[in-house]
Amino acid sequence: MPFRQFVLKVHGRCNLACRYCYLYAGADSGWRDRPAAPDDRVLSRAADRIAEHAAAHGLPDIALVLHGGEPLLTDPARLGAVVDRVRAAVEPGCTVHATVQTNGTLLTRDRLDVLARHRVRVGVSLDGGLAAHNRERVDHAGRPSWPAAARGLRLLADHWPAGYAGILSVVDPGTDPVEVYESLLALRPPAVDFLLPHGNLSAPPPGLPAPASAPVPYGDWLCAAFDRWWEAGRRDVRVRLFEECIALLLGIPAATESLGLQPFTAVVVETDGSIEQVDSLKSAYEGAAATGLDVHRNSFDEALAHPGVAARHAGEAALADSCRSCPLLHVCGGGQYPHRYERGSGFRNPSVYCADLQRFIRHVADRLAVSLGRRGGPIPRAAHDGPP
Amino acid sequence: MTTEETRPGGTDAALPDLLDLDLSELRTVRHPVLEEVLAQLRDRTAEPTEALWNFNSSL
Repeated sequence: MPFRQFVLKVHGRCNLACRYCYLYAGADSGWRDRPAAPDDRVLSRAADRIAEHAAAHGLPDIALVLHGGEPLLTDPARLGAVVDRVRAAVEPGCTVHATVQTNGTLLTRDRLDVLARHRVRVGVSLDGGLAAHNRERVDHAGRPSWPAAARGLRLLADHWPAGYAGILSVVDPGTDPVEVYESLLALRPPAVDFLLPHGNLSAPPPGLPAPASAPVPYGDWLCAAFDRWWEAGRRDVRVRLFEECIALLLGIPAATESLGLQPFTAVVVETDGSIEQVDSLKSAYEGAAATGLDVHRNSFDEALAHPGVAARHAGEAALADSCRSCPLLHVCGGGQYPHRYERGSGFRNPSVYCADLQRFIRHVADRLAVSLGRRGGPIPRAAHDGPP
Repeated sequence: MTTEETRPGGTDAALPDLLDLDLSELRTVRHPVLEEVLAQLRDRTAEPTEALWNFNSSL
């Protein structure tokens, strides 16, 4: 299974210092030793390697994701030139879908115009549509990023709605899910996704392990948001997690890291040309994303052979026995890979979010079954025979 | 939901079996959100392309 998404770190620093950041405040400090931005040689070589891989595998479509750090710390004209370089390098039958994932604080009309000219769509990371939802998203002086981010999002929605890819929000179980969802709607995204904060069995995310009185805070949050979306009377916005859960329940392959057993097909080029696995792995341990390869000396095909990459193509074979015997296996898929990490046993464990994922998946399954005439009432409680 | 029903390793309760449903037969579903999701999934199954990009940290 070839790579299909190429994540280019176009800037290795960020103008924000979000308190929960898994990259700059997490287990991996590798960013300190890398250049702040890739030089022309790295970008040129990366473009050539992407084209080489796409041609070798006859790919009709690839995704080019401009990422960071904060990618808009780089001149958008330079970002546009990178995308143009990749488009020129691939074969005529290969379409390059380019996006930039930004915190939104540096969006200006001029920058949007440049991105539009180069057909680079814009995704924004924000944890809700109110200032109170974004208290953790501060700059290096501790000042809230919300005013600038809100301004950027309004500009995007008003000035270039066709280029507005949507909003990624990290779930905070301390917030009101319906309030978060509705506040995001007010920012007029075509799509949103709700992401669980990175953590694992050795370094649990906030709120886990949860008290017995409320054992599934993230699951409950997602269920409440789902119900608000599901019962709206029309689809107000695409919600990736919700829709991909529905896809999996219907036996259709899904487009998410959060659920499912599908092979993971993204790869990263760091600012120094290193080929790495995705940053979320860095929440596990120092060097977790490293492959030892780089675009100067190695092809992406060589990266496919890396054991860490191969493990994410192995489907259920890479899962713990308890996951493989779970009735939710083909929907859950063990959840997002880094969330299964435990010091000493690696990634072959249930997710730190296992109970929350069960809660969410069963809830969506029940709602879906009722809508399809397959279920008339609440999910029957299972008799539990004891620990696996 | 009790702790016992959500402990790691799963419960014995199977999910409702929806795998035998044919997307084309679901065109008469009367749920406005589900109708739109199903239309998108029909397109995905007819022509799978970028729909299966699964990197979470971008849209």
